[in-house]
Amino acid sequence: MSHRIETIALDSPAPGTSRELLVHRFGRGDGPKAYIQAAIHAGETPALLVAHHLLAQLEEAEIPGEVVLVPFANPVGLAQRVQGHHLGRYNLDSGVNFNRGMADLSDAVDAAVGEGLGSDARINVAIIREAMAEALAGLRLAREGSLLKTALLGMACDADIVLDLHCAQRALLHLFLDESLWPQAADLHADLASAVTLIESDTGSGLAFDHACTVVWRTLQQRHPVKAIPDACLAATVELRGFGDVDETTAATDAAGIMRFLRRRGVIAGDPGPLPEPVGQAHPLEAVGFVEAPATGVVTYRVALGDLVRHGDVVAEIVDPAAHHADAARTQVTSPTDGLVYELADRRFLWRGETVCHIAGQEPVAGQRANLLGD
Amino acid sequence: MVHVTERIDLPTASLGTGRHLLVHRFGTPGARPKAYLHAGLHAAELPGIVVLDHLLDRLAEADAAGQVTGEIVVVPFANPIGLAQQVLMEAQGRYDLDTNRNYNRGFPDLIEGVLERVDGRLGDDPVANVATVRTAMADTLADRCDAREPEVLKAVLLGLSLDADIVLDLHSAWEALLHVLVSDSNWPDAEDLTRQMGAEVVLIDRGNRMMTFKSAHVLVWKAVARAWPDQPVPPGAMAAVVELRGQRDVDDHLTRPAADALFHFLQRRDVIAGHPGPLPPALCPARSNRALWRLFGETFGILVYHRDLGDRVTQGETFCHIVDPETRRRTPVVAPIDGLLYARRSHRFTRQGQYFCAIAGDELHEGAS
Amino acid sequence: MLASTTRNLDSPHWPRDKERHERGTMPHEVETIPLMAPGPGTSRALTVHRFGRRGVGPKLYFQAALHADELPGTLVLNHLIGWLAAADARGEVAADITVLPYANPVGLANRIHGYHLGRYDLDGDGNFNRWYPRLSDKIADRIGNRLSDDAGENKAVVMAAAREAVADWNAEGEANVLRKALMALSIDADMIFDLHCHGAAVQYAYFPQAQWERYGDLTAELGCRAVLFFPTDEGSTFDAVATVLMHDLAARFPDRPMPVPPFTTTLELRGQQDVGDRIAEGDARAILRFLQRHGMVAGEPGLPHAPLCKPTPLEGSDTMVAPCAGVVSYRVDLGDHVKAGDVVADIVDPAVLDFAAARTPVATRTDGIVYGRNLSMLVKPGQSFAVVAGDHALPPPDLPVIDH
Repeated sequence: MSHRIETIALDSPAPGTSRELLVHRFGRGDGPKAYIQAAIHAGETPALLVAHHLLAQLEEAEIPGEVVLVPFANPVGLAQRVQGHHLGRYNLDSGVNFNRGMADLSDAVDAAVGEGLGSDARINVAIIREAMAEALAGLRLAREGSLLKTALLGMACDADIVLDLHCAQRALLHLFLDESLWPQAADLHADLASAVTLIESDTGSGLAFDHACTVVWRTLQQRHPVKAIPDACLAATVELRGFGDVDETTAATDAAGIMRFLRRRGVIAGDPGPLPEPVGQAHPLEAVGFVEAPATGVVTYRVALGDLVRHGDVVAEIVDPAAHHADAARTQVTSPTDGLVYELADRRFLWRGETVCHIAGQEPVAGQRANLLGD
Repeated sequence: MVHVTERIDLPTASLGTGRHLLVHRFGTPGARPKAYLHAGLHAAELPGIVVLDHLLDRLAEADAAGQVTGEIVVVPFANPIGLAQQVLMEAQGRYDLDTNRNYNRGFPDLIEGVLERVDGRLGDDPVANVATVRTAMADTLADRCDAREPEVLKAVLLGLSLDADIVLDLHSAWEALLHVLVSDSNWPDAEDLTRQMGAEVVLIDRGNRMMTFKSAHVLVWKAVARAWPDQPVPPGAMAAVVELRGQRDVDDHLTRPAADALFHFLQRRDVIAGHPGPLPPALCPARSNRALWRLFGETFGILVYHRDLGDRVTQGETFCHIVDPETRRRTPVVAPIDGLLYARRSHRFTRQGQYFCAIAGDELHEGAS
Repeated sequence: MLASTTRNLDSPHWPRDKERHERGTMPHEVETIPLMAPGPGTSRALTVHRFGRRGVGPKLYFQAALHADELPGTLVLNHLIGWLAAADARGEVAADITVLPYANPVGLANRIHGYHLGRYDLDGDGNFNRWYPRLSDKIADRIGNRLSDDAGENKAVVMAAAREAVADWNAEGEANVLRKALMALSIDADMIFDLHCHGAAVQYAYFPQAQWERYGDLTAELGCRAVLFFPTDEGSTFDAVATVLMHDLAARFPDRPMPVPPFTTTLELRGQQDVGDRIAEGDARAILRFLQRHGMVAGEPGLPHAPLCKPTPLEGSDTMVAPCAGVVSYRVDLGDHVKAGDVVADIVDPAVLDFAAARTPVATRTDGIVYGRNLSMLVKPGQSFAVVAGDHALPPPDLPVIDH
């Protein structure tokens, strides 16, 4: 299939430094468009390897639609290292999370075309997408991180499918989806063998990439309820397990799962096969227990990924090495809900208030702070 | 010759990020004397970058008029890696955040390799000997292999400069008077430079095997001369560090005259034709490096100075206090010697044991007056 | 009661059994030692546990997490402290034992954007486990005319001078004040155990070859899959301080009976993620059995575990260095045995379309066990990422291995 490789030069932050994005484009353009990017949080290496395997699989495929693949979405973050540690989540200069602060184009798009929308969904979709692109082009942004985000969003905003490939700390494979996309995206959940799919009902503080893709549709729907405005963009954040889960076989399998989903959606030609049995459930984000460390210290777990726990079960202990008596050193950490342990902290020394683990239940968890996913 | 600009791309160290140097060349390749100048090796030390920017105009003009009789290589920003380092809005140009290393340390140590390669090859002709050593330096450098990004940069900078007769490394301190650092093997040869630049402090050192850029040149020549004292091996390079005042001293009224001074220096050295004018008098005697007293915080706190840069302090004088807002104590900072307050950190908070200012005492370099 | 099992009582340092009974014991003491405060409102301190009788029996020193992000040892010592306290209360501790469950509060607080940077001082004073000062000359100058022909007396003179020299060191900056405090606590120890871990690794240890016959059972108890003999007469690491000092003094005063270098070992308790009570308890039990077998603590250690490996020289370890930037895709697992020429990993550039062209293989030059690797799977050119323990010294590699 026609495969075009494009290099997008990003602005240089300083003399002698250049930044570029590499973009692979596939397909005839006669069908749905999928946009896939890897590791906007630059240290999330599993995403890089999955993108590499996707590249190989896309090269072999017949693609009536269009696929845009950005194999490493964040050259700025990739270059950030301090004392040998790779710091890829936040922009070292501004302190801003690379996956927050995306442009919310809702107002600009509404102002441009809101009144002109009609009852033909397909036409509306085209109009809105064009307005999104124009709105992005019109943004005045100078700081390096913002320009990167705008460039990426510009490639994604006219896609039918957006997959933002990430990884979590130590985790089962899981997805984030906006509630407007569930249960339509149940096939993604099944094809990727997601152990936990988290359904979000609000965008949280500061727009993440996937939300930036969906928020325009939701907002316009709310503002123009009588117009035919579909959920034209299925955008999902895919958490490809944890930082250490980098191996070829897993990456190839994950890539194959994505390909199967793209086949099922008509982006890629070929029989996707029957929908696999889902391995996990969908959970509202409010039903996830983000279990915080009650004290500072070394975390030692009593549960493993995939364990089912009940409210009140001890999931971990925090050991304070400064305690004078060994037996007084331990503070227990208990589960606030019944559910599945799907993510554990990567770091083994936690400060009070940091997240020890994530437990996905079905009932809203009482007493959690807002802005669960953090800045 | 036409002013030539070359871009040197460093090998990729990180996906999607490229680093490059720009190298400006004037005069005739191979003509002597050859001068090499760079700035911003410590990437937040900006005045030198602007000075070289001014100098480029004058050099281009002179070159177009056929006045550049030697060869001049200018690298206006020597450290693209450091220039791109900001942490939460604060530039960090002195140390590589990844490897923790000072960008002006750890330059390739060519001494052993050069000594091996020139053994048995030196004769009675100093010019030929210098050429032999330069070839040995280049060959030794070519053999080295350290793939880390900052080390590749250092190897490139050394490679561009190792056969130059004049090597100028433009720095600046946090806050400082204009001062120059020269190795003893290049003194009093470098006196014309220090006078032309209007240095208010001149410090003579012996080179440092921690391998600053300057030492990477100087120590090779010293080692060869020491190993074969009966063979004439003059220092092939006059290498100096010019500290162009403080990091914020980038204004044109300071940087343009400095560029003019460099131009006149190059004229005086016959790199550029034309009369440099009379050599300004020395503003200070050459001091031994041992005259340099660095002061360290006795306790943490806020530095409140009672004297300014350029002031003389006398031994025993309290010229600063360290204010501890918790204990409310003001700890006096007492001058340990008579001398000139010539450099200090910009940030006015010091930790205990941390360097915060420097006094140039009066111990002179031997033979100076 | 002290059980009578195989025990080395031939050392001149150690009193005999009945002396231990007669002298009794002291209770577990905990001391807080303040370190330098970096600014108003911030304080730092070490917590030091002591067991046994001060000055009676061999002096043992344990610390963990000198690299503040290497935490397995903190849990191990947490367990050990509990057991030693109980044993002490029963009068069963026959050595002078100092335990620091966390050695580095400075590094514990070093965080940037949520990343814990515990290996290097953020203020610029380097790797927390390097740059310990070599005080040999200062100490030699102090003791030169006070040495005799009596080994015991000389040891007392040397130790007093060493403690003084440490106290006199004008350490500046948080990291150096920390170094000084740790040296003060340990420079006169007979046995030093420095608990570290690697990024990801099998259980392994750095061990002094001269002490292998005597104390090698420690590594067998711990189930070490690699044991690296390291030179004890050079180096600036924490565990080199006392051994280098004693080597230097012995060389300086060859005609006097000088104290032997202490037994020091750096234990690499697997990797940074291997922090859990089950593992920690197992390791702590292993250490306890070792202490029991060598008579420091009462109790029956049983027969020593069979060793899982033979020791190899440190110069035989091959370090894989990345020639380019990319994702490390391992072809082998930790614990695998490889042969010279085997590819340990490919460095994958995810942007390159052609599968083969995207991969740069990195092969090992030695037969041996893959015993450690980085936690992060991204590398820059020149960065080392994995190690293989071979049994014969290797020439320097093409790409230098940087240790700082």
